[in-house]
Amino acid sequence: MKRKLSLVLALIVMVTGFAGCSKKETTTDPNEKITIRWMGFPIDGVGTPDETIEKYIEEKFNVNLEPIFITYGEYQDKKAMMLAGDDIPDLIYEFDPSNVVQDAEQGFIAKISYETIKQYAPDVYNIINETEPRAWSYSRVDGENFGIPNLAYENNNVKIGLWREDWLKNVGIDKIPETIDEMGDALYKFTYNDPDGNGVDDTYGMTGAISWNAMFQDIFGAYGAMPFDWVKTEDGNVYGGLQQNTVEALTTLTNWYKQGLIHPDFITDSVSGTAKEKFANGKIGFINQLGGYYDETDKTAIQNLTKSLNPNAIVTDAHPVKGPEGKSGGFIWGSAAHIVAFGRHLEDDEVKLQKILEILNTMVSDEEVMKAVRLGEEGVTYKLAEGSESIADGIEWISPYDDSEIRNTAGIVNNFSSATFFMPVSPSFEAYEKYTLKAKIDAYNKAANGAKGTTDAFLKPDLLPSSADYFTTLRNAQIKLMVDIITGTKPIDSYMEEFTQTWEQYGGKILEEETVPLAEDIDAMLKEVVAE
Amino acid sequence: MKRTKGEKFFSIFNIFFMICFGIMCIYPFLYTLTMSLSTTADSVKDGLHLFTLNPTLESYKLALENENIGIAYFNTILRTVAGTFAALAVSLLYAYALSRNELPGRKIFSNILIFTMLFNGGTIPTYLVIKGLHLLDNRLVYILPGLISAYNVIIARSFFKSIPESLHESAILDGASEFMIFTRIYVPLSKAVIMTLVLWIAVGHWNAWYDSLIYINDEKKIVVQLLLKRMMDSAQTQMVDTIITGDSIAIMPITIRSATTIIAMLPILAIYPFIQKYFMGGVMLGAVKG
Amino acid sequence: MIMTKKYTSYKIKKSSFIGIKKHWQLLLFLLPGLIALILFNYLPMGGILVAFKDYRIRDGIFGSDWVGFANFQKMFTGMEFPRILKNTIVISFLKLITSFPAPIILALLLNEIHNSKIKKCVQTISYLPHFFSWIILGNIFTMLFSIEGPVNSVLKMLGLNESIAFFKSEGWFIFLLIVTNIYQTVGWGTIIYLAAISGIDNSLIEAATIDGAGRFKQVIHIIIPTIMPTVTTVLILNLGGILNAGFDQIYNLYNPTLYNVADIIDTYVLRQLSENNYSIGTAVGLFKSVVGLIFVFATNKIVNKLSDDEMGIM
Repeated sequence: MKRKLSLVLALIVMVTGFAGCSKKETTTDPNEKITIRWMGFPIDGVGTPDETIEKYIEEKFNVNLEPIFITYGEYQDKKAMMLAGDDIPDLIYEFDPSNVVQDAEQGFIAKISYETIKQYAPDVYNIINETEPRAWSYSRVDGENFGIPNLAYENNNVKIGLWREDWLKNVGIDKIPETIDEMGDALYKFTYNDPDGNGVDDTYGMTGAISWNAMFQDIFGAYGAMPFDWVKTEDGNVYGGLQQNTVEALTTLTNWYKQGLIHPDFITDSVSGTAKEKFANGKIGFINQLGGYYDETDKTAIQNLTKSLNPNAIVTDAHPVKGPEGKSGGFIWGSAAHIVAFGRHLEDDEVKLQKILEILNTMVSDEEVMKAVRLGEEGVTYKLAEGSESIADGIEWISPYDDSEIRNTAGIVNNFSSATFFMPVSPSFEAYEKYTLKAKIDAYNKAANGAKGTTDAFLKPDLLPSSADYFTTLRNAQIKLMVDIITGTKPIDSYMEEFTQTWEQYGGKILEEETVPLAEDIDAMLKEVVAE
Repeated sequence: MKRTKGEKFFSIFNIFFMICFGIMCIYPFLYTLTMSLSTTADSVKDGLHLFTLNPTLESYKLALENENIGIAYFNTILRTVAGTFAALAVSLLYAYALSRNELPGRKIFSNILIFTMLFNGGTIPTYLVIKGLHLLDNRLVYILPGLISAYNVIIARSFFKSIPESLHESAILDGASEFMIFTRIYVPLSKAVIMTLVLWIAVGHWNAWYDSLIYINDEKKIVVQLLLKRMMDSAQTQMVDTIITGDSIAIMPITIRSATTIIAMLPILAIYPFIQKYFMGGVMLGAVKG
Repeated sequence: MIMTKKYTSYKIKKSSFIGIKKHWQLLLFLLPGLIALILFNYLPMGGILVAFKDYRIRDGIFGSDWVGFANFQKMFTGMEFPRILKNTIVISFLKLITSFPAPIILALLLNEIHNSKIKKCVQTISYLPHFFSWIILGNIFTMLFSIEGPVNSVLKMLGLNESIAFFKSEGWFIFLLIVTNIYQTVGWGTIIYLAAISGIDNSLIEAATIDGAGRFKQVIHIIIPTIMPTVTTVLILNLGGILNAGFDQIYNLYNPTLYNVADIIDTYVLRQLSENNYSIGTAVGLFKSVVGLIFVFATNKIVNKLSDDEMGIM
């Protein structure tokens, strides 16, 4: 009995103390082939991974690559368990600055100075600085750097919406609305003038969604309003929701709702779910996202769905509407996207860290390598499409890579805007423009009509230290107030007074105070990253 | 047996209520079945989706054509059968022991059990223990941690306690061992509750996916629910702005989600009637004559 | 199931050692379960200490700094906590008083159906909702209860002037939560009660009929008392999870305008993405467990008192 007890005790001590032992990693012998455990951007495939790109990297850089494939939905859980179990990969993909903070504080990821990155991955470094140096705040924890941010160029684009052009014609409008008044007029006619000609009063102008980063952003943008974000002014950073332009945009929305132009389901609708369905079913004639380039063979594309439900439908890209002062655009995340971090043990293993950085740098500096790790091998996984002279004109996948499942498990993606599994750093903007489907870029430029989006002053409002404590409640209260006003439950004049009260009650002042040191820290950081 | 007017009226009302209730309960099933058989275009149409005019097996094909689906099914069936049997044995034995007043330290053993129902060490400590026991990437991790659950044991104990003590006494006088009494008297008399536990435990195993996610890395050892879930996630490229994938999805997420739900449910639906008869009074438990 | 008579003549063994020797078989029955409990429940139990620490995984549980009740303080003094706690309690309580009796009533009603085919059919159909995840049910209910959806159409036909905004009106949303919760749990919940009912000795029913008792009296005086032990057992067991207000369901039906009534403890934990994730999460979990324990303990005592120690579980 005593032996059993001590065995059990030993087990307890071993297991709970187990997590306290950090493995001693031996530093790599520069003469041996290095093994890199690579936990990249989660893939979306199910099945045995294809090894095309993996082998390419191994051959090209003379390393042993051990990719760790995890699907997107499982990533946070599996990563947490691996790190907790002291199984720390060499390269770790992080989605959010808060993940970086957490993993840095827990001691899982390595501190890596700007000098080190500049030395071994100069091109990676410069690309970030040229495009969006503020991205460095994503990998910054307490004044130190813990990774390399990456970019997503297409997140810098405003969202393009869609109009039912056949409806516009039916109600006597012959151009795509460009100003907010024209839009209001079109929506009115959609609601009352039977645009689908079926004799039944069953159509609305539009619907909406109410998550803070996707709520009528085109309308707010027309008034230059950023209701849920920090805005830089001469007096420092202020909260967009307390500014007059938010009230102006709200007034328009309230009027539209009162006139019956906005579908009452806007509270529960989601853009890629029920709003998309409403548009495809011909219940609404305008939707503020999902426009732009689309794949004609994609059965789930809203343009194709609409046409399959109604062959007479003509679906056309919308222009971001201009408000009374000519502004347009609205909220965008900006190009800063995610972060690639490195396992803590690499702080002591210069050889391996250097190698990884060099590999990453070659990917951005050598276009052939970039193409190889994103598209695979020309002639094997892909080829130029019929009549196409360059990749930007269009490519075709070669069987079996025409099956998206196989491509997913191989990490093969025709995407030069953001990170992929094997290339977690960003190519230059020029490379993005050179290789991205020209039709896509043209479609966007044509629709955007020069409109530019606005980012939060800090890129991510959650960077404020107390945001986890206050921001969600504040935003929810704000959204609730806005919905009450739009639906007429509360008068528009109550917005400023009530929200100011809510703001002070729920910690808004604390957040305001925190913006000052954060802004200072970012300024200091910006000076550091561009220093010689 | 003569029935009063009141009883007749009640009967009619009851049947009427049950039919309405039944219709309400079957609706999600019809909806999901319809969606699983719908084309992308039809799935988006307005309406209640009680049936579809253009059925297609696209979504099912996509869900089932994964190379690992066979192995995943095998893993799930194995875990359900072995896991249910093992858990049943362990739980019923524990419950029987607890139901005997003469068990030394009865209250202690009972409280040890109940405490675990209320307090939990957390996912990470549990993961570390599993890792320490070398159960990571091992199919036993599906069976061993779930061997005993306080809820099941307490329910079983409650039923065991209601079996008349006289049976136990006379069996002891006849020279039977506890094990014989357990297997030959208590178990046969408790068919209804045992079958209830079988249902609960088996369904729990059949639907489990989280442990497969956390503890298993080998593709060949995952359970079918996790595989189906991954498939749904991969078809649902519906992420917030910051994720951009280059390729568009081929099948509407809701049709795949519906197909995977139906696939997951069907085996349970098929087996259920066989278990149902045990607690619907279809089987005579035998009156306990004094 | 007939209730056991309490043993009044049970001899208390003076020496526990003799007890162990005499009842070694029973103790052996406990062994596999005990090993499983120790390995998979008690070994990780050290994790509870994380609630009192500033947990750094690399330092392990014992190596991390002790912070006493600091994590709890942070949670309790958080500005949202009173509201979140109130919401959790309100929703849990309302669910308890509705979803707990519902399966019992349904089981009794099912038992009254004489046609065994219909009875089995309805029971089978009734558990179907249990098998659908809230992702699917959320979609369905959002559609059904939308402003222009079927439910409101029917209500309008019955004379209602304006649609009910189930997803904007706080009161109606809670109503929706409660009703859909009953809907999803009632069918599956009947199983245990049907099992209890199935064990009723038919001779008792026959005797009562001969005595002239109508069906209703039979239900009240025979069936209900017989399933009482099951009812109280299930009740006490479920009270352990009193502070789980149904995160999945709320998450899939929720939108920001309902934050005032629908934010619950689990929602709060989800938001703690800052560095003390593990510690706060564990502290909250511990808080829920302690409250659950209090409820279980108290209810058990009450049940014991009312039933002469027959029906408690502890």
